[in-house]
Amino acid sequence: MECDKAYDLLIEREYGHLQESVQDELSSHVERCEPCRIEAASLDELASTLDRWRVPNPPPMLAALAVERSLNLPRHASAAEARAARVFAHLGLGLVAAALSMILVAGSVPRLSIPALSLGLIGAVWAAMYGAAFAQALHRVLRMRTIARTALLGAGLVVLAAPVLSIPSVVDACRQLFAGARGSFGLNMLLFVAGGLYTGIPIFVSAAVCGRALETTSVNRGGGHAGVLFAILIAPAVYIQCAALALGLVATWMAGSLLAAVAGPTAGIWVATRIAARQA
Amino acid sequence: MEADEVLMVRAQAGDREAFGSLATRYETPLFRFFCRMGAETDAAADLFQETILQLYERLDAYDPARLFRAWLYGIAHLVWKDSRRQAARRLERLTRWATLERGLPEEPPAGQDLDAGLDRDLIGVAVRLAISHLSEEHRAVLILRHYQELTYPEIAEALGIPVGTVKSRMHHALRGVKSDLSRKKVLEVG
Repeated sequence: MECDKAYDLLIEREYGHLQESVQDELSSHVERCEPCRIEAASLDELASTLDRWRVPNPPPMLAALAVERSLNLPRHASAAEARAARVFAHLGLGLVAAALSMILVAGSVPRLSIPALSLGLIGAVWAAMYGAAFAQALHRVLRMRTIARTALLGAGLVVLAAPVLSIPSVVDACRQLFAGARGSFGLNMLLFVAGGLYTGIPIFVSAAVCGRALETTSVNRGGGHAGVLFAILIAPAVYIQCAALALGLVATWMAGSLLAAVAGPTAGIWVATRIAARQA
Repeated sequence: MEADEVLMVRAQAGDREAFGSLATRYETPLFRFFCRMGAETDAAADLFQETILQLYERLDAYDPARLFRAWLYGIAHLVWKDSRRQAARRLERLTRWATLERGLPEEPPAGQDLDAGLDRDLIGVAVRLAISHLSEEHRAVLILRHYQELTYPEIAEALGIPVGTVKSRMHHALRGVKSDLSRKKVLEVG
């Protein structure tokens, strides 16, 4: 055993946990090695010296005062305020997402035709993203970096697929497909609901997962992170496809998407909170 | 004695007594945590109250599958960081005024806020100063591990960082304090 490693293990022995076999190996090294013996003694001395720093006891009745102060607060009012703040925060995020989408919609002008394979690839990309989001929710892999990685993966796949999946060609195909029904109430409703679900499901799942992952910091911040991630990484891809699919009916699709972008995080956070309460 | 998690579940269901028991149980540990992080006694009392208030406001957000102690220290650490941010802003404003009015230097002397004499034991004071010279992150880990006796995984959860980072911060903090105390001849060995 080398002395550098032994030093790390000495700290681990003092403050962490060492397996018995490692402990034996360390002890035999320390017995043989003079510098490490000094290090061990020095660490022991350091630990006992640290204990010489004494701090005063809290003033009397401190906990009782704190409890009284907390219990007398109008908790329901503050919860309502927090909820209102959350809704406004998500409204802002939804508007950001909508603004991004409008820029992208304006930029995607239909020109080309589309092969069926390309539509299939779009479906596969989104299925992978949905799958990853639900897997996180079900298995409770509550890590922001996992969510970020998933979103990046989805965005990356969309970018890689872009040369094959010509967006204008999607629009063109849809235009032909819906040529007969354009302007009908039924088609408008269909696109409204589809736009809402398309946008709402990923952001709802993200918000629910983030809400639980970040509850020690702030539930609102969890929803915020989910919304920002969505707006930056997922929304553009969603709305590009929205534009492609809903040529001529963009407003209807966008209305559904915007509604979901605002309601999704709030609902997600609400569900996360309810699940936590029910587990109690 | 009922486990923290059990009391917390009862508090979530509206049991005020259970909430009170939790606050009492953590009164001294949390108060001392704030003192060791660098707060004066009055400020530590305020920070404790703020932590209990935050705990109450987040009752519904607690997941009983998680270790309560780590969760609570996570809240306390956030309360501490918020207070430091506010104090830094106040100090900046005051320093600017002082500089304008009296031509004082911009930089406050190191350790200025740590000379309130919490401890008359010179070794204790040396330890306090040595720890105060650590960075905020290293100090938090050292205090949570050595004084509050949280485990590495608990600290990781409380601070929202990986266990490996907790260990490396602990090593760094110990080296820093040890070299400081050795330089001042407080430590005899090494």
